[in-house]
Amino acid sequence: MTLRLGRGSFTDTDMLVMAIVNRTPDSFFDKGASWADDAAMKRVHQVVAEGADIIDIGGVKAGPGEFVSAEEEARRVVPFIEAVRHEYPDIVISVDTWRHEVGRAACLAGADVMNDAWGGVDPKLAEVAAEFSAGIICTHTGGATPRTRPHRVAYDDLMHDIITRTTDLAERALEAGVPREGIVIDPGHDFGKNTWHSLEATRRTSEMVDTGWPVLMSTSNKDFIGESLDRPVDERLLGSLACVAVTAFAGARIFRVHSVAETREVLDMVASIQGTRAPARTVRGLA
Amino acid sequence: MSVVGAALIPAAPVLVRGLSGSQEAAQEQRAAALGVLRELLDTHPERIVVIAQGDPAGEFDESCTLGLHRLGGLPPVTVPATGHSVMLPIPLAIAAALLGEAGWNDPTSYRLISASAPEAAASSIGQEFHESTERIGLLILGNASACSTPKAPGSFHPDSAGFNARLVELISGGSRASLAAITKTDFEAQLSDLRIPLLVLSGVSAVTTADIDHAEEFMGVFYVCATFRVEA
Repeated sequence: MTLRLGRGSFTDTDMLVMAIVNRTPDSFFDKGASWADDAAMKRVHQVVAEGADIIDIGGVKAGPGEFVSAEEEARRVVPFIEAVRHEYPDIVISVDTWRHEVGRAACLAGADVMNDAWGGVDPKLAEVAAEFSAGIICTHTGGATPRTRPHRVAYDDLMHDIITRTTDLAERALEAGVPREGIVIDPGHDFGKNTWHSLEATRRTSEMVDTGWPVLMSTSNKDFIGESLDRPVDERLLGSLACVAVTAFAGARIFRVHSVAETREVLDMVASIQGTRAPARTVRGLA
Repeated sequence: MSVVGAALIPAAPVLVRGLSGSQEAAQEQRAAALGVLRELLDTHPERIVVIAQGDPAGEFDESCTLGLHRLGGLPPVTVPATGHSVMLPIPLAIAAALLGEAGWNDPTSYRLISASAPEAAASSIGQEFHESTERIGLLILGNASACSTPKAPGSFHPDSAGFNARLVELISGGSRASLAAITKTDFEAQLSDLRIPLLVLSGVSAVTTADIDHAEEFMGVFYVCATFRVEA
């Protein structure tokens, strides 16, 4: 399905890199590296140069931590979205939030996509997306409360639960008026899941793809990779890229990542294997 | 004959062999839980009764399947058992898996009791077992605070250390008055599922003090493994 994310329009074979830009002092991977305005803008310049299609800007750490009010969250992300929009009039910007007030302010500042990483906790977020003809990411969390860690979660059939919940959110967004081509589903790795569950969600990506909704993968440097390979957070790049390769080959469309250049290269290779991208230079045996 | 032995272990999936990965991340904790179970089996019960807190409440028996695939894992953990279609609730399935590993294959009853069950009702269940004609081995499941560190499932609760200490003291001392002093709200704030199991235990008047075999935080959850002394 053709993807239309706000001002961005993408073909059926495009695989998109969504670059994470955290406006937080305490996120698990970068630990505040783009907390300051100039550092954040420098990161945007870098990820755009490396081939990012979407800039995902978030103001609240996903894990437990100090309470961040909607006002503070908006203060962290909205002026920055405005600045990025000024620098890059055509780039797709998403805002990582579960709160409709923040989503609305972000759209007014130039955001194109609501990255609802906590899966419909605030149903009004879809209304905001509809109001601004923005896209929306419908994420599976198993019903988890925002910013909580999983505790002994269990699923009779994990993928059935993922598909049921995410497509239900997608249908509700559609009913609210969000354009169909702007609705994306996300299995929500590590959110409401143990490592076994996240591995299974990765392994069964094609079942999500078969729903017809575009699929986003947000696996970058997450704990299930760390636990699978016994690697600390700063040594998970190879595991992250393996997830990108496997899920891209299975048909996922958008990849939310920290390492843009490496991901772009993996996606180019996957696309070449799939036969949707011409290799860069083919002379071997052809001279 | 009534209750001849009683034990406490956490209802932690990580204790099930095959769920903690190739490095068997929780070996020490599993060994402690199995040690306690073997002590319980050494009391020569005719039946093990397993008690855990959770909703929806229900009673089950050994014909139910474990359904550990709900937690993930690789075969054989993920291979569903054939036969009975009813799956044990997860905490009870964990107990069943550990009892199997400890060598128990005899009659077993399982009861999941609602977190909102009245105190009197919970303790009367303990009394009911106490009056049984069978030799009952009572296995209660639950953890102390699941908010013991910043990385804990329930995030960090500043009162977690005090809560854990009070529970350990209560369990080792067998004081029913101490249990009454810890409120339902305290248990909920700490994501502890031990309130109802301890209330059930309090209904068994023969149970007195306990030997604490293991009391330690693991991944932010405070585990207690204990065997209770039972007066003849």
